[in-house]
Amino acid sequence: MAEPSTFDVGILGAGVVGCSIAYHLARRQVSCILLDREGPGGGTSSATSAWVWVHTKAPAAYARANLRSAERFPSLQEAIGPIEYLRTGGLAPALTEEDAHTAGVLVDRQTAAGIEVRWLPRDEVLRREPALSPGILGATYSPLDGSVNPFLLVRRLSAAARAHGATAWYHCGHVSTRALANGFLLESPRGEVEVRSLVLAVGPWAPQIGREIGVAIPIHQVRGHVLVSEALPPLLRHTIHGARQLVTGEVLFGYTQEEVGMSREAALDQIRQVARAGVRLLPPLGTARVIRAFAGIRAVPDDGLPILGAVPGVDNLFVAATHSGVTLCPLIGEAMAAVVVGETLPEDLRGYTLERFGEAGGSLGGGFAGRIRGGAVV
Amino acid sequence: MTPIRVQIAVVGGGPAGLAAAGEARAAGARVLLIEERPVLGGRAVIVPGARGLAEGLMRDLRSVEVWRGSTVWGIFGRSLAVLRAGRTREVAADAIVLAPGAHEWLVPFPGWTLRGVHTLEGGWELVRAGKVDPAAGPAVVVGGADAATLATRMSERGTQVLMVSAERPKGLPQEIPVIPGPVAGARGEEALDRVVLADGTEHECRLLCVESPREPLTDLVRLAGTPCVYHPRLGGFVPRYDRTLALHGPTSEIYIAGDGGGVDTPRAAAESGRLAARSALRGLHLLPDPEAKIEESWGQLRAMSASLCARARESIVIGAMPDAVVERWQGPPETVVCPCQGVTLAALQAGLDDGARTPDELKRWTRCGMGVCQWRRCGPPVMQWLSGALGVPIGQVPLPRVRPPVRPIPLSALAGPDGEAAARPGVDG
Repeated sequence: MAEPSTFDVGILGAGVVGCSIAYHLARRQVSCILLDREGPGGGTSSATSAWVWVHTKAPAAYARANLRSAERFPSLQEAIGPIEYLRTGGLAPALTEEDAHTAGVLVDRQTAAGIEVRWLPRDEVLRREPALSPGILGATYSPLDGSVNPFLLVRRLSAAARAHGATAWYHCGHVSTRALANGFLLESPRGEVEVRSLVLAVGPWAPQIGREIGVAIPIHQVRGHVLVSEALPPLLRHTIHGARQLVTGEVLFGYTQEEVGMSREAALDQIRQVARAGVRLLPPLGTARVIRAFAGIRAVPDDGLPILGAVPGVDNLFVAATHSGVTLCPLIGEAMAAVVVGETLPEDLRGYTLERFGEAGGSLGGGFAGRIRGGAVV
Repeated sequence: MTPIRVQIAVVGGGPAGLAAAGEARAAGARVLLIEERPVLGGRAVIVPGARGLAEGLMRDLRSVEVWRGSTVWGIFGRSLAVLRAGRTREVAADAIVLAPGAHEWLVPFPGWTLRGVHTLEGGWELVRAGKVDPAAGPAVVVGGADAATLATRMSERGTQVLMVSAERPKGLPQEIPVIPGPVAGARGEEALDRVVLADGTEHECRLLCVESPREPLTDLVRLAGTPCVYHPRLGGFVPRYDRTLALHGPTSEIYIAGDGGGVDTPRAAAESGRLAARSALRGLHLLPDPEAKIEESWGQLRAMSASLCARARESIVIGAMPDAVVERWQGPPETVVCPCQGVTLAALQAGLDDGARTPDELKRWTRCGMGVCQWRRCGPPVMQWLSGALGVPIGQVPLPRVRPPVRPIPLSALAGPDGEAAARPGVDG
């Protein structure tokens, strides 16, 4: 076999986060292998609205991390090729007095944190985006937000990682992991590999895969539904909180949250709910045709913030699991590559290790007996 | 929204659906028949050969409630989402008979996406719609005996017709010239103006009708969670089902009938509709002596089937794995495969080179199948090409995932009355 069976680093999960980590490791000339049970980007990375979104993120440190990451997209695009990144600016419309009040608080808080967000009154919003409902009260606006093509992001990161020497095993089937004296043995139907360090980048599957190797990762799964319109003439210029128009003309809209495990089957009541909210927010969409509905599973850590870095209690095991993987993958890829080779997390991300969850995060003591508060293991 | 409740919902008003609805109604079930077109009969009232059969079945419908011009765009358990008169209606059924039929798909060649290029069935639809007359031609019709029937009819309508066929079809009127071909491509600006043959000769035409493979329509059955197997004898990918024609999958009491379960004769389609209805009636306890009736239907179905189809169907029912077939459709790199998004074979190959291995991965990376038709035109050729390019039996290539709606539907029809009250305060996210 041409491929070596030993690598310095194994990365489990070829979504945006795993591909970005592999890309940055490969750029550092670290020998690494990226494994995915299915194809690259087949999980949450392909079921996303793919906003590069900063402006409503909280608390301040997390918002800054999102900003640092969003700022990396132009140079990333330069390095790996076209990914349809557009810094469109983002609008989060307020439809109720309560929304408007929350928006005021947001503007003050983000301004204090150094995140550029401002309130736009109704007329100004409608001048910028005439398709929005005339019933809105206004919107918060940030020039920092944008969008990207998540499929091309995965494709180009994967291709760039391989061009820099990373090995990829896609469609390798279920990977089981065994701890060795000095590393890990990864067994899959495709074959076996030994790695010195292992990074879990498996998004919403993290609790389940963590449990298989005796590690509690406190993440829950939140399903969201999105509807896709047929290609339309230009309708939206900004990324809207709840809708965006692709460069090819389709409008993606929807923002639902349900905790129903890993099922990705689109449900009728949710489709209708998204449709109603879509027409309410963007009345001109009413005459457009819907060509597709999809559901994706968000990986949401129990406190909503990323889980990054070394797993306490297990040598050479690392985890990168987060919501907003699209926005954060440039920064996380860079940071995780640094951590895996022994450097420290950058300041923006330092608070996000698994240690913060106490006994609810980290090694389960070599068995399957652990319990995760609010997580998937009970 | 309150669902409409029926005992048996039949989807598709071709011979299979008509027979199923009539049989179910005759046994006393409350039946709803849903047909996408404004008329009943399906392919039987478009392509010659089975009009009498369809008309007889229509007479036997009696008091079956029929929704014409109504599109089933989703199936959720035993509930159907139906677009009817601009609204989505939810139909909750105790049993569902799916009779979606099959569709002809054009095998891509350079220029196949030009306006004026059709399958034979597409050609017949033009004939039925009165759009074939002396001004419509010249027309080129490609294929064998079935193509000759269409060519003859077009010629009778006064259109100038040329046939491309390996040999002269029997009974073809002398005034229709035949040339051997084969066709290398079609040319024109948006609309077709000439066809190019392999020897380089060009023939002016406004209409090109090509005999094409016919494959079962499996989008609804796949949305219902039913696995498919590849059976060339039955037209390609067919759903898995048991001896009662009940689909495998997460939901019981969903049956398949007609060409959607495997392309066969119109009479076999009708008989399978009757069989599916009897199975559904058995579940509702509306059929005396059901086992004997189902057995009788199987006998009829076997008798009405085309040679080898009955055997292929039997093999599905017993769960036998069909022979592994590697399909090898190939074309020039610049051939457009996905007309909605303009994706070429070269773009698919580049996706493959970057590590894509399935139609869904190619979709993400090239937009193939992402457009309005949602794989309906490009699905079959992409599956065949991928099988050959990977050297993998086509039955092992995963079919693209089906997502609702299976047809484009207006957002207003989804949102319903609540959505029409635009700009009402409150948002869901």
